[in-house]
Amino acid sequence: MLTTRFGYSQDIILKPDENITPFYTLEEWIYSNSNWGFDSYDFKNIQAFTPYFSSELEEAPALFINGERYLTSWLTNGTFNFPEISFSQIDSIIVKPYQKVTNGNYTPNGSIHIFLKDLKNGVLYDAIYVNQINDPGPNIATEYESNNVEVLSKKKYHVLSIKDFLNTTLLYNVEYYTRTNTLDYNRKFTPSLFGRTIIRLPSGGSVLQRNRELAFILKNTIENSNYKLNLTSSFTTKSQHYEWHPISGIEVPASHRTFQIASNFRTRKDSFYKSTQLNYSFSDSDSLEFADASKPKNYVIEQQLHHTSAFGFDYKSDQISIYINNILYSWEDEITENSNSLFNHSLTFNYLSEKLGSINLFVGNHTIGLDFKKPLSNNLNIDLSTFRSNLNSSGYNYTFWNEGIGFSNLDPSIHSVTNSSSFTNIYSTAKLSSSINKNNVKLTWNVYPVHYWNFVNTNINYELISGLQQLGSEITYTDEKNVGFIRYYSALSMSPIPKVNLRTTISGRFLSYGNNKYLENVEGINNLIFTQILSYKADRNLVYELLYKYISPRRIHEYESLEDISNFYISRVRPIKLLNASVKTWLIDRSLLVTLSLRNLLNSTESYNTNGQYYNMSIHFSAILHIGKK
Amino acid sequence: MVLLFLLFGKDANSQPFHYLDVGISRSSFNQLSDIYSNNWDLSSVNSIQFRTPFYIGTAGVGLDFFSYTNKSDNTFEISSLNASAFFGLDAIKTKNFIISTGVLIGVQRIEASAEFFGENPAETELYTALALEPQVKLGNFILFTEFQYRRIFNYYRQNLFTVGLGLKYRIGIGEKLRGFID
Repeated sequence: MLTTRFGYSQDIILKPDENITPFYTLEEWIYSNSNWGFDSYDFKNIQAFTPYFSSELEEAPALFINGERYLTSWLTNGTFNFPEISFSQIDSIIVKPYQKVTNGNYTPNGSIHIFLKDLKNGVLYDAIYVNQINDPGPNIATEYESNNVEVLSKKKYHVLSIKDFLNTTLLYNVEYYTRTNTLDYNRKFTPSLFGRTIIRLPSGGSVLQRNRELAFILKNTIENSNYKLNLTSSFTTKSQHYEWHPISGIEVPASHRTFQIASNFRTRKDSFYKSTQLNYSFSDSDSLEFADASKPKNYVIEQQLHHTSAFGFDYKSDQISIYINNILYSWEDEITENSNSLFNHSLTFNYLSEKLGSINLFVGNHTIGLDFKKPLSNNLNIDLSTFRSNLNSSGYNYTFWNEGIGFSNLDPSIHSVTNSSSFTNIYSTAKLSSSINKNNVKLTWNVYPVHYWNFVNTNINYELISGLQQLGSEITYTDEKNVGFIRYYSALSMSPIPKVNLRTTISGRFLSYGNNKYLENVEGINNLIFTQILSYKADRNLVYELLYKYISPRRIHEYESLEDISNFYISRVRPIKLLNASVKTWLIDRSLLVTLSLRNLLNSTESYNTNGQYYNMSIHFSAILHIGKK
Repeated sequence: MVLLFLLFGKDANSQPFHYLDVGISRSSFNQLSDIYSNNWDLSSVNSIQFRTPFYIGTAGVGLDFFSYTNKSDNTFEISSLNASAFFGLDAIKTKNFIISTGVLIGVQRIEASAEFFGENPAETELYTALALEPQVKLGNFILFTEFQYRRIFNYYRQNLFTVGLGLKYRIGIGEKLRGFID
């Protein structure tokens, strides 16, 4: 396959079965294993720092499940609807951090491809339990009383697979995720700084802060010798969800529902027409604040319709593909009575040749660009791209913030958005990469310079407003010319003695340049991430693993003016030093998999945002039962 | 832990799960943390344990029960249920005498009267323990003493030392059942 040569050499392939160190969520697992940093204050709302750092950051990587697009965004949050799937349900994940165009979609932050396990006819049950230390224990009513620490996470995952009936796979997943609202920097140092929302009931009582989620995903396949039709329907409810809203300077509790349906039709005939994919998603969100029951805080509806059709033919030994892509995106805020819609369309022309390499030409009303990949030698590849992208036409945060969509508590006297930007990113990237695999030693590295001819820069400045729970915010959009950085990534995997595997991954930045406004934002991203994994496979059915991870500190300039009020360096997120030990064993002819792990054995403070929780040592236990044919 | 097992790699077992030891024991606590010993006396511990040869050394699970008796009216009586996993190696092994060492990783669940804990009458907390078990084998019975240094990871760490005595019975696991478990 031509694609193997050009596409996969630099992709990160993750196998849940080979990796046992504990993670709180699937997103965290993917980002950590890709050696990306991220911003999060509760592990449930995660913003990844993908290798391509830009103001398109919040668009997040595009997600595909079994080759079909899965829509994850909700207003300004690119990964809000990341599916609640267990590691046990996944065969493998391929992360393509640098791929700007994926199956006819513009994907500036790359893409993530999840491949579910093929369970044949069977049932899979997976239960996960996480408990964190530092409970008061018996001392709850003595002079040594301390804050209560709730069980961190309880999850239950189910899969029912019936191959004989429409090739059906049903995933039914429940997450019961606690936020230990007592364990944030905020409470430890300055109780009044960030508004953590406690939902007050009309009776005066309060509701425990817990993120709750219930998800169904149903997959069917209908096929014959002429065609194959994949159908995916999913329904997710977050009955309680807490999200920090940058513009309103407060965390807002809300309930949220999403229904999504995707169909992918592929012809098996050797024709010019290849496939059509359709995605429709309906989401709505309602406030959970009961303070003033007569006046709801927000109710927003969002709808998305995506269409992609692919065409292609062979020209001598080369392949030519053409994709047509259309996106209809609309939203409606019942409180502010603002509604809007966007319509985008694009054409992708892909040329794959043994001699010339791979060329992608992307032409759309919002984005235009060119991507070119070529092997320079057996082990060395070069990937050049240049894109011009209009952010506003694809639903950028400015669009929502300017209209006040979903933020009915915005007060113009304390929240402002000023703009002198064209909202157009123009950038060029040049990736040099290499992959060497010899005698059980695999070395992969790349160097990735990104230069912005024009960069849409967002600066946020928060200030404390006395007497108010929410912070005042001042958001400025500017255009910055000729800014950029060079990123590097290197992964080494080897087996020095039988049964023992060592994996070392290091990534970071060499150099960043530009004016202060831009560099302040770059400092918000961890400069260095180092991961070392040592695993020992004592038997086919028993694996021990140690993981050490170092994440360098980062600086959140948005909080700088709060520093005088807080009693600590609130703009500095401290470095993270994580040591995890895990053991897993299969029992009953590999039908039962039991995993026991201790996370953060050094018990050093683990926190990804000073406006958030910090985590101490925790115990993770999971049991996966699989009944059926293997 | 990985390094430990690498060092003791010789303990690799070619026949995992070929027997199951079921044991009961009773131990008494020595409290090493004043914060807790000032307020509570601990009852003796009743334990049940299951151990089996693993791919390396021995593995098992255990449950134990004890209660916190309040010394004054300022605190309450609390019951405690502890569930743990055990990973061990035989340090000394002769025909009838074995000294095994190991680590326990578990969770303590404590429960008091409802009004004391409000809506959440139960609390769970991680604990780890180092164990030393001299054992004498008498046919299918094994008489053992148990020394444990246990740390419960409450906000104020609770350190305990236990000494106990117990009896195990060895049940052979047939080829067929072993094939099922493995």
